[in-house]
Amino acid sequence: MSSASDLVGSCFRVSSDVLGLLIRALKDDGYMTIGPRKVAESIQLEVIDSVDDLPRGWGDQQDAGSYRLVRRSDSAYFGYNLGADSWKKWLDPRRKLLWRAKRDGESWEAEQSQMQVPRMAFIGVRACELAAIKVQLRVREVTQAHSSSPDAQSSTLSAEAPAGVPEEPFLVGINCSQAAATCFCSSMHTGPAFGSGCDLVLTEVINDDNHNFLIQIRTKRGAIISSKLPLLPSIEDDLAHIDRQIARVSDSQSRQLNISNPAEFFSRRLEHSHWDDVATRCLSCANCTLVCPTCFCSTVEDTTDVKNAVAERWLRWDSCFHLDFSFIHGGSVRSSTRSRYRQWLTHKLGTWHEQFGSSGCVGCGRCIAWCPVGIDLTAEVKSLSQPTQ
Amino acid sequence: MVTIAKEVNFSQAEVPLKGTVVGAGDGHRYLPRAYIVSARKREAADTVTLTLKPKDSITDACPLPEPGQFNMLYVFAVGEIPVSVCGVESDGAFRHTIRRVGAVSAALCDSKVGSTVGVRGAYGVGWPVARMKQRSLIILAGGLGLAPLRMLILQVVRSRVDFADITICIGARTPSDVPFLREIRSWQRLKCDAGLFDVRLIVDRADRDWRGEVGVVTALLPRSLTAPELSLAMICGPEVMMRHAASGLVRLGLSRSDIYLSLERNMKCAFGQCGHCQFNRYFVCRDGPIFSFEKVASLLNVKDL
Repeated sequence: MSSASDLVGSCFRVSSDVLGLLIRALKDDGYMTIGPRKVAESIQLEVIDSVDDLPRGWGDQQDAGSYRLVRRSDSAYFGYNLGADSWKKWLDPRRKLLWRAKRDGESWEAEQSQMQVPRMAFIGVRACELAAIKVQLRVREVTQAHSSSPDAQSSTLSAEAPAGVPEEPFLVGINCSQAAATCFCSSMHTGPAFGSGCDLVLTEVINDDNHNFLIQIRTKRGAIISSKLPLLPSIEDDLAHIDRQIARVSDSQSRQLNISNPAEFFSRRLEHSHWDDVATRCLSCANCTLVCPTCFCSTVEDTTDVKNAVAERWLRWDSCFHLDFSFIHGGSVRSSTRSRYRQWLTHKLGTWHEQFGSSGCVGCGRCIAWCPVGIDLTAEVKSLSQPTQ
Repeated sequence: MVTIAKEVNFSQAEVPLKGTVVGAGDGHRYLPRAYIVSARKREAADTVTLTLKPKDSITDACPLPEPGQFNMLYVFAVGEIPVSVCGVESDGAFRHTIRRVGAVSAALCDSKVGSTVGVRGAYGVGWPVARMKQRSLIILAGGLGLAPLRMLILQVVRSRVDFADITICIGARTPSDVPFLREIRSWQRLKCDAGLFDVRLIVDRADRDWRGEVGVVTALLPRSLTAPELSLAMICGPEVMMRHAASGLVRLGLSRSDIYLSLERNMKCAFGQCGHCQFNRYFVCRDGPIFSFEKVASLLNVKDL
């Protein structure tokens, strides 16, 4: 018998029934299990109780401005690509209470809200999504490092940090079995092969009557959970199968985004005529920023009860496409769609490197599929590469 | 014995994802501290200076701001805005000068002595105080742009001998819009043995009683400088004025890295997280609001950036 940690780095074969046991094992261990569900006509990331909640047999067809669920010919659990939801929804909630203040005559006192974060297990994380989670973390790290350094002279130094940093989610990755037409992770080097960070990585293998999963154990935590499952040894060809699948998915991606020096690329093109062209199509609706797994902009909402006795401050997602996002007295700094699209793309692909040391884009293609007019950032970058008109 | 296919290498070494819940526990960074309005002074028709004292004890106070830094001021159930600090009293109280331009600034202007205002700060990078010693200073303020410069000017007045020539140019729309007028007059009366101490005032539109200069503030800039390489300029006012002033100073021989200006953008968090104040690669709240002209000159020329 081997101890759980010996399993780290190993690959096993399990029958598809074991997926249900895995969900059960995670739940028994106290995790809130979150995974894909078919909700209305899309795949969303919601709390799941069992394997029955997974979108078995559903796939999707995506293209610029288009997303449709389609029935697959097989009964794959993870046969879809990506929905509009990203794990950002769980890692950085859309809306949350920051503090509440109670008034007493002319005076008031504010009290910080205590946010309860459950132990979460994410089931069905794609490689590009893991990359996005890491980008989000990096943004957070840089922001916090800055505001706690002595030179930053921030008041957060003396403010109390929240007690009990929540445990990081348990991540169950799933290797993609195909790419959507909107995918370009390969050119962003964020997929289809997984970087580090998942506890387990699954590969769904369907051959004729056999429906199996290959399970790669990548952390001790993953090993402990897996040791509760009936694991079968994998064969040499299983690892080769995974490699072939990843290579196939990579090769099938037609969209690409290649910018050799991104920061410079955009700083030289701030007045490019193509921004005017995008502005004739862009509705400034903010869909791209909401579906983007790394967009992090937020705003605060100050609310009050009807008696004006209790005031609250809420933090919620915001978008640089909103006119009031850049409002200062006298008007908005970015009053045109041209300037707002330029801000988004320049930040996402260019200045993000200077601020956080990576691209803000992981190549998931959500912004292409969910743009109501089908604006495709890979095509826009190509046009920006051409001389200005 | 079971043979298990062993992976030889991952694409990267496994690293745990620490503190993955990105949005947890942010409350404390947005939590305002209660301050009491201990004095309220009307500066102009639409402008008020509030003096804010920590409500409970000095231990619960925000750190003392440096000249050019700002605080976030909150009015109960109305909202929060960034406001530059225009002074720090000897007892640790803050002075903020506020013009009525929106809902929150109006509520601040209307707040009574004794009422509670929320404060968090101090935020941002201030004026380059450490670079000022022994140099000639050119300080240029347009309208309420004087507020974030006032603390700096007071420091300069206090330790006058540390600097060479000092030129302060102040512009306002009309005579009744000039903030801190009595203080400006007192600066103008200062006697000085060491070098020039020149405080000039100009208004866009004069009234019957105005005997001073009329025109834009950039008209007050010196015609020439004897030692531009030893000069340092600090500018605050409308962006278009700062751009013209900075270009004018470059023509006088100042290096772009010796000219500083204070930018204004929408801010919600004040610590580089909400994204609202982004100015190309910079977060104005965190990397500014004071920037050297060298850093932002080319960006200021891009419309709607």
